[in-house]
Amino acid sequence: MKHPTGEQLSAWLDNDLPAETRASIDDHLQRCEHCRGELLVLRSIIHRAREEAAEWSGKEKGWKVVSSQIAHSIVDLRGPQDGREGRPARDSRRRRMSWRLLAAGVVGAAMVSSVFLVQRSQSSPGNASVEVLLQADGVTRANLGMLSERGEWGTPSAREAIAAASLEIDRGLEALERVSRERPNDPAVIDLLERAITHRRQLLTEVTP
Amino acid sequence: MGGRAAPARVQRGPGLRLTSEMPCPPTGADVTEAQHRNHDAFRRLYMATADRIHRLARWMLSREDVDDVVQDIYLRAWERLPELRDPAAFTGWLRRLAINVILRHRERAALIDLGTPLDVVEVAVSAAPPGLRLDLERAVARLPEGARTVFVLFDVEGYRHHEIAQLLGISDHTSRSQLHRARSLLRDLLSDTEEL
Repeated sequence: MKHPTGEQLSAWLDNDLPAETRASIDDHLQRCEHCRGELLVLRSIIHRAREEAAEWSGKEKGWKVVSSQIAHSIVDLRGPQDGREGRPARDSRRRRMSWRLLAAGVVGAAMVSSVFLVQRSQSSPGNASVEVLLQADGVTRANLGMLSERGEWGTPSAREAIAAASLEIDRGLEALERVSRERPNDPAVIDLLERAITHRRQLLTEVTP
Repeated sequence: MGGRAAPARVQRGPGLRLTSEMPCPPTGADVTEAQHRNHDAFRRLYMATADRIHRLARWMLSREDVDDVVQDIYLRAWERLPELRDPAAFTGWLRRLAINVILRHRERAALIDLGTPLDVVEVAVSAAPPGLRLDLERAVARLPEGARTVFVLFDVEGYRHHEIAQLLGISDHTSRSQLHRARSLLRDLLSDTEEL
């Protein structure tokens, strides 16, 4: 009695044989306990692989890392990270840049920076908030620069506006960074930082393609 | 015709395994909300899928790379989720994305070698003390990379040979050969009539 090869039995298990070969092996299996045993072993291995417990003890820790990174991701430019609903990524309205809002954003960023500087003597920053803002705005600058290089809006004025917005964000960040080192944990400064973050986010929602 | 009936074949469904196999499958509503950048919704998707994705990475990568690659998978999922047109297809979409990230990681690390000589693995197998019962994960880890990849993709993740061939840039025949090789080696590594 000619036994099927191991590869043939494996293929039989997967119903991956020509009809004639399959029928021949079917007939053989009717009479061969050894080959039925081999199939049982193979099936057991496959079953174990599929049912192997998948629980990951580091899942929560992994989420903290992912959560932190998507909060600062270069592609996460659309909306708040506090669970509120943002806008659809493919909304065609968001593909068009609002120059008015961009200009307002430039002015707003400058205002925030100015207000912050005026209140320097009365405040001390939260270092953690500043670090968040710095990192996030670093991403912003890179993204704005990228958009500019791609010329997605295709006009010199667009590139100038993007550069200006980026510059204002830089200035604001520099000021925040200086004060944060001098006066940590001041509630007024923390409030300003949060407002700056919100304002920056609003700006980014308009410049994101 | 007398004699015993042939043992039942392993039943295979079409394509990938279904969301119903997960204890708490992600909902379409969560997917839609996450597409709209709802952080909490994406967290729910992560919690519903991370165990399986982590296992997939564990079986296909070196131990030291697993956590970083899993993080990368979910970052890319966040980035590309708005491209998913059918929220109901999220699980299969995520699994394909995960496999692509894993394979690219391995390519970068120059680990893929589907032509690994069999004697390399045979040495490893024969070095195992007779009667040693390896758990399945360790046994899979001892497979040569090409065979391990095909085994995980076919037997665990439910890909067909033509899909595996396309993913890995190999022929259908090679995929079948590698699968047989993996199963045969696992049989030897796990060989214990009581265990099986």
